[in-house]
Amino acid sequence: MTGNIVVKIRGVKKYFGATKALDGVDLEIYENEVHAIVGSNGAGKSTLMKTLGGEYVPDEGKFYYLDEDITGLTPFQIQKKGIQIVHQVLNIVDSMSILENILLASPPTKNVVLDWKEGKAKVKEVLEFIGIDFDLSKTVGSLSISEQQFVVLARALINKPKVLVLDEPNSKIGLEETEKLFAVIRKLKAHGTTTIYISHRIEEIYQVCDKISVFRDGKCIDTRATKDFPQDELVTMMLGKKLDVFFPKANVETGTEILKVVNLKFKDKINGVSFYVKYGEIVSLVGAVGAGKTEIVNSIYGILRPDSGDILIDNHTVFPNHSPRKAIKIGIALVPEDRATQGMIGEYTVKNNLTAINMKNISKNSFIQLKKEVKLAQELNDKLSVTPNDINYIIQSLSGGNQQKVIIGKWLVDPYKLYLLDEVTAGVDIGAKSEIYQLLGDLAKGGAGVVLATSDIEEAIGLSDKIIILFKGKIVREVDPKVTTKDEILSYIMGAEKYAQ
Amino acid sequence: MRNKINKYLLCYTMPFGLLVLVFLLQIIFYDVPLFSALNIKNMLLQSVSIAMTALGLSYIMMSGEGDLSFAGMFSLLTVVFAIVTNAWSNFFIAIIAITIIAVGVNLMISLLVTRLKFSSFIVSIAVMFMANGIEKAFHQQTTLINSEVIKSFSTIEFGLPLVVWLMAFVYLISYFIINKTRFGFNLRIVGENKYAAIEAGINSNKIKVFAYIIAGLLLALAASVESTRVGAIYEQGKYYMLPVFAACFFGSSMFVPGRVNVVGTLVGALFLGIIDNFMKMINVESYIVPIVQGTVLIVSVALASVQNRSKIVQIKL
Repeated sequence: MTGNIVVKIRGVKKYFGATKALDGVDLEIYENEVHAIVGSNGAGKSTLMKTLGGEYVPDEGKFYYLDEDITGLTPFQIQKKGIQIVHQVLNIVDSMSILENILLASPPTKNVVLDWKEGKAKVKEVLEFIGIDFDLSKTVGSLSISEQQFVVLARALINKPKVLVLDEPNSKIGLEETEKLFAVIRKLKAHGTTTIYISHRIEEIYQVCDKISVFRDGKCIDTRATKDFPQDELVTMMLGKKLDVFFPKANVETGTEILKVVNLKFKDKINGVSFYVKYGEIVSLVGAVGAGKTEIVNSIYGILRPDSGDILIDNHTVFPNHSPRKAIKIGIALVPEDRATQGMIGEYTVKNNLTAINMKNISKNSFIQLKKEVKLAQELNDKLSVTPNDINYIIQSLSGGNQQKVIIGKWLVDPYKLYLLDEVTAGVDIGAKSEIYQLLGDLAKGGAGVVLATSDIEEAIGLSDKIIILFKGKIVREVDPKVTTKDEILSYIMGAEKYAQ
Repeated sequence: MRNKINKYLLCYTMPFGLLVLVFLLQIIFYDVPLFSALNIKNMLLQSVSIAMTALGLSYIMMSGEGDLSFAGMFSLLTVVFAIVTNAWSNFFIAIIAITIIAVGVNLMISLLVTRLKFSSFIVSIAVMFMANGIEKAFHQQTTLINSEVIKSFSTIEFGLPLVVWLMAFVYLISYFIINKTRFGFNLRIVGENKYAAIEAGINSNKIKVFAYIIAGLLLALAASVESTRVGAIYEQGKYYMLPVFAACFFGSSMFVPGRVNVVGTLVGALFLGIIDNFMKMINVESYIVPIVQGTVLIVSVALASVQNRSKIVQIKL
């Protein structure tokens, strides 16, 4: 590819204590290209982008922007140069309006007074470019996560950056919104903006990116044009090994109904949903963001109290007095959507997280038996192959995939009848994903029922016995994964009502 | 439309309710002249020190920190004020002296909080007790009484007492700073989400230091006003801790629901002034006053957290 080099990275190293996050990265980004950076969790992608953005100072190496050395500048100076980074975490101010949030870094002022009128015109222009319409006076806290993602995107585009870095922008947004995001990226390219795109969803990279760089163990190991990079080769290179089993669902003899949901209703989020799950069955709930998947799963687990309808476990209603405590007692396990705040205790160790719900297995007369605790945690850790294999590691410093393995792992000590998994592979790299799928397959083989709420269609087709497609809190269609196609499901998810009968 | 109505309900129910409450009090206790010109003047005079101190605390709270030191510092500043004026009988030297002390101490606190990452809560408690101790040391020799010259300042009036105009002025300026300037905008961002502030290239530490300095200035001003109002000085700050807190929290239940804000703090301070004044007029026992003020604090914290929760629900569902 021809053109100027916009960003040149030379021999960048960054250490966190004894951990080498970046181990000598060399990379060139050319003008006007969409450049994907892929790699497992912990390969150093996000660290590199934070170092590029000035949040971290590299221990060694240099960054050049249009041949100018920008190493060691502050985030603000780097933004001024024209490099904008959209982080994985949405850094928004809930209580402020959309307008204020988009202009957070650069509120226009007249003399010393803030001039929102001028700002409004600027914001309208950017939103038009993105192709989204907001009531600018609404608070950002009242928006859905995918809408918030576009607020953050608009903020990054407000100063017309030369280089835009998107760090997993679509791990929290639905399919429709992803399409919209891609449209924006293509439009930016047409306007001469370079985009660096980090994502775990390999398929999508092939849709929108010109070039792919593969990261492993803090190094950039290869960069090629997308068309010269076969998908299986890419995956092998990312993992450093060949990926054998991807979807391990074996045919399992299904038993009686373990879960039956009857005409469930909750505000305008769930509008009369009925389905059942048998022992040994994996049932997927598929839908866009806001289709009601999370609400259904939370109702079954007793976090959310539905307005009407019934939930039966082994033909016994769970109401009234349903609660997570009761759910655990009757054998329901939940892996929640938001693992950082609901799935784990971030500042505790892997050991504590693994044993917290299994206290009765490791305690005697209300006293925790430390030896047993260590033994139990170590066994689980080995079984799940969590890396690093250290049960005293603080869980939030693990990579996303390993965190998720620990969160699932805590439910494997006692046998549970029903596993509820909400977006279990969001933000998880392909290697860990495969291991998680293996675990789910094993659970079903062991006779448990599994409800898999997901927006990853491939995952649903590959893993489940039955796919239930939701649209705005209603079931629009139930399809058999053996005979359906990705496009069929997609059409139901997006334009659902047109196809529904 | 429904959203708009909800928003207005959330923002304006409280101040409206307060107004109704005050009128109800007047109707029930019809023989107490709550709304006489003289009483309104007195009530405003009594509210000035609370309102100014609470405004300073509001700046600190908006930057995401907390502060308790004002209670002890207020006592210390009034004592220093009395000593300086008694020694030199000069009003302005006294003001300058206590401004330097107040700003200096707050600067020190802010540096401990921003540079060394100490908890502002703990640091300010420590400072509060230290200031209390130093104040007591001054009382060892004599009883401190403000001179009549100083007290004459409180009688200067332009329609309303000078100090009331002063209060109106600092609130007006503060409203402008918080809502219309870049500094105020950045201050609110820092208080709401420090990561968003980092991403927006805002120097959080600098903003916080400024917030503390402004609070120090306002505290010195409040202490000067207090000195013109009272004769004998003894542990003045003790009576301010609760109402100042209550004013801030009470304020956070109106106008910008769940958030400390300038107008809210003013209304909160005035409301506490009215209640205080009312209790004096119906001659309740003095021990009732802190009980009522404590109740107001609890109720306002409850209101603010309910409003916060309703917002969280909106996000999650």
